[in-house]
Amino acid sequence: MVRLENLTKEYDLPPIKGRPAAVVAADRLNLTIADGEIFGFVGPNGAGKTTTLKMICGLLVPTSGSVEVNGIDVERRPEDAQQFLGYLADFFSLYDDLKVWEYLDYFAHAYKMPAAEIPARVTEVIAWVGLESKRDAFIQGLSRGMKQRLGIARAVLHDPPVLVLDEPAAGLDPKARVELKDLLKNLNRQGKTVLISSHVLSDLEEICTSVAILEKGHLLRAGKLANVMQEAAAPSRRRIRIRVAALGDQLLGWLSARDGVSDAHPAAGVASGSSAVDFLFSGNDADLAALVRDLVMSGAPVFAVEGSSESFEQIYARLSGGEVM
Amino acid sequence: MNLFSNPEIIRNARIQLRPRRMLIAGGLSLALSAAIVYSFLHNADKVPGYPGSLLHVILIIQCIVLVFGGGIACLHAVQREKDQNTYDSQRLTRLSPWELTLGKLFGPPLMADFIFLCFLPAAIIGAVQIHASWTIVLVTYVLLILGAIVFDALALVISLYLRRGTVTWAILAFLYISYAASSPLWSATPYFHLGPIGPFALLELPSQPSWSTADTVTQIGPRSFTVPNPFHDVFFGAPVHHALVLPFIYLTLLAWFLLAAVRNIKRDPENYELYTPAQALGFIYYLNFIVFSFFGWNSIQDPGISSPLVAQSLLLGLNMPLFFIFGMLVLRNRVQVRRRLHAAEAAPSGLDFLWPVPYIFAGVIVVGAAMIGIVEWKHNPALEWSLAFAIYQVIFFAVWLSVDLLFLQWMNLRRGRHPLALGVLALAVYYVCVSIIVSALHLNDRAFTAILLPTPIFVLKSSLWTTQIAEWLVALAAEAAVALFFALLCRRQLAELQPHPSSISMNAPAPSASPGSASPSASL
Ligand SMILES: Nc1ncnc2c1ncn2[C@@H]1O[C@H](COP(=O)(O)OP(=O)(O)OP(=O)(O)O)[C@@H](O)[C@H]1O
Ligand SMILES: [Mg+2]
Repeated sequence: MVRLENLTKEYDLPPIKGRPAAVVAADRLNLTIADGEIFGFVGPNGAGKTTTLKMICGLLVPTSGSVEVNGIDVERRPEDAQQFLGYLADFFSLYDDLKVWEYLDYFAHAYKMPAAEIPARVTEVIAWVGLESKRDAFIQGLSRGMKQRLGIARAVLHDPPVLVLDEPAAGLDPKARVELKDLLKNLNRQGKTVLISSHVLSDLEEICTSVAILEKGHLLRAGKLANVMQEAAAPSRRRIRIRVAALGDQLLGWLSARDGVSDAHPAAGVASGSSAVDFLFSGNDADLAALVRDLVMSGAPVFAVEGSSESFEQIYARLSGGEVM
Repeated sequence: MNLFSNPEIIRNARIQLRPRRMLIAGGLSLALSAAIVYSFLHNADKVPGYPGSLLHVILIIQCIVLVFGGGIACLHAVQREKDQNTYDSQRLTRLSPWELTLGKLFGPPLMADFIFLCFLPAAIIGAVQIHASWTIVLVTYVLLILGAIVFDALALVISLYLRRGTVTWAILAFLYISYAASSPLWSATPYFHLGPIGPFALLELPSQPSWSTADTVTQIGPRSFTVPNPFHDVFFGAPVHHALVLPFIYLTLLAWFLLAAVRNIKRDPENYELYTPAQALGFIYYLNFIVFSFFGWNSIQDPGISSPLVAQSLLLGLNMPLFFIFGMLVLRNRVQVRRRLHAAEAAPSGLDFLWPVPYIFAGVIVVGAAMIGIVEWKHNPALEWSLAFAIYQVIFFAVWLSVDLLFLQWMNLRRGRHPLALGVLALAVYYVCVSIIVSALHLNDRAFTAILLPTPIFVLKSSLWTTQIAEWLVALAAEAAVALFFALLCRRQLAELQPHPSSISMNAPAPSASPGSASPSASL
């Protein structure tokens, strides 16, 4: 379990036009991340994702507040907490003049794994990230994506219960992205907790069980992915499509006059032979049922009603005010 | 932990000691030493003694390789990890700070160590050639290696603070320091009887015919010259051989450097703190213990040397750089102050703005009391000495130091890229300018000059003191006022770093506004 309590980080910025400036990269964040979650941190550039993840790992001292990993205060007992953590930074480097297996061997020893298990574990992890052919190659000669894979291999090497990945998909080709997703789901099935930040929102939507949406250091929303989406996509903002056999101005007028309906317009790109009208509906399911009943009673040739909820991407763009993306 | 299983050392060994590299480095070193050995054996009859002998030349090469090569490698030890973005992954491993420190102390110099070993056969031939005493040669090597480790540890501590742009300057400074610390010049005064502690000074050790500390007398024609023995130290009046003192100094210095490295090597670089204030006090007391132990105390008894007043001024003068280092050790930076203020939640202790004055006084009072106590107890009553003036001197010293360090503390709390470096630079330029003007105007012994520059209190005669007490007290009060001025500047800077109450009330509702983020734990 990872628990953030009032976690705050202030940075100084160079004075802007002679006036002092500071930025609050994390503003009293309170979060509890349960075991077994895949927890996504989302936010535009500069939202404070990297800062927060680094504080969770104890790499950065918070200005105030605290982080606990499995009940251990990261700041007070960093070595104890860090044994539970595997971390992959957004920008990291590897030791260019080591070979791939030497690199992993170094970290395995540094993580104090039992010496007898290390060679087998190194081979296993190398196979896992698909670098078997590069085992004896110098890291200098690896491509960007291969280095990224090796970084991931290092993060999972000591089998940490909590994995912190800062934009791990950067630099990976589509196939590797899919593999990474599978890898994370796999680890999750084994009970590992994964904290991940990413800009590839569709990736997060697919694998995360929970998300936190950050902006300018503030926590806008946090919780189970479904809850966040439902809550953010408040009933007031439901997009409804009604399919009718024939569409007249009359119907549009009728709809526009109804309470709770806005932005009614003929739907574009509907298969010929039928028409449809789209509108935004604010009201709950019972209100919608009443509307449909009234519509049918008034003689409109309704043959389908579809509700489309917003995708995570749309919600996110709305919540974050679309600042920087 | 066993050094041979330290992962950090193994990693360095893998990188540096690949067979190809060892072959090249070893081949070149052996070829060079073979050439040197050949040339010396060829002209064997022309070499009378140790200086200029084969052993001497090989030792010089080994010393350069070990001290310069190893030191430069250690200067890069942390800096390179930071600059190539690998430091964080190391900090996250379960290597304890001790293991990481030892790994970075012994790992990076491995290539230098290997080259050093390659020259060893030639050194043995050289020792045999001049029938050197084996114990002396052995002690030389042990001390050389120990000294190199001490300087490597210093380099490692410096490395914590380096980035790509500063490393070249640090290398130059390191080369200068390690060489200057070996220079016999620094012990050439009658006031200080400690030989040079730099490893290069050890190059002269094999020239000693025995472990005696006696000076050698050479006869050139009808006249005889006394050549002072460079390995003659005086510890509280008792002569000791420098080779006995060095292990003590090396081991204690090494402990201090390792303490600083171990405390910080796994920390967030913004939060480095070489020593706690109490440890920094211990460090300044330790340095003063060394200064006092080897000080020429006979100068306060023997009118032929000087007077107790001069001795006291000298001791205080020696303490200037020491306390300056001490002050720099206890300064706080913005990140630390901000954390303190946040932790105290808008109710900072009222004396924060006087930092680090209390510790300066704690340091100066103990050191000053020891200094004055010894002089008062032991001095020759016939010589110039004034207890009141000595006390005044020490107090003025403390206040002057407070002014400078409050200024630096204020600078360190300002924003900007390198405010502290800028502050030190400004201070240096200020003192150079003021001392040029003051000496041009011959104002060196005026009380009011002391407000600008501390030299008058070091050159003051007690006769001048007794006639001008009022002026000197006014000068002291003025100096204290300047200190207060900088303390107030610090306070303004502290106010800027306070957590903003307005931002708290503004932001606080944000998480609680939506049920989802009020207690995300509940929904997870
Ligand atoms: N070392 C630093 N010094 C000063 N400001 C910093 C520092 N690191 C980050 N910041 C500031 O803190 C804020 C948060 O940065 P952070 O890197 O955590 O954002 P992020 O969400 O990871 O962004 P990205 O998506 O671009 O990676 C930014 O406004 C940034 O300018
Ligand atoms: Mg980032």
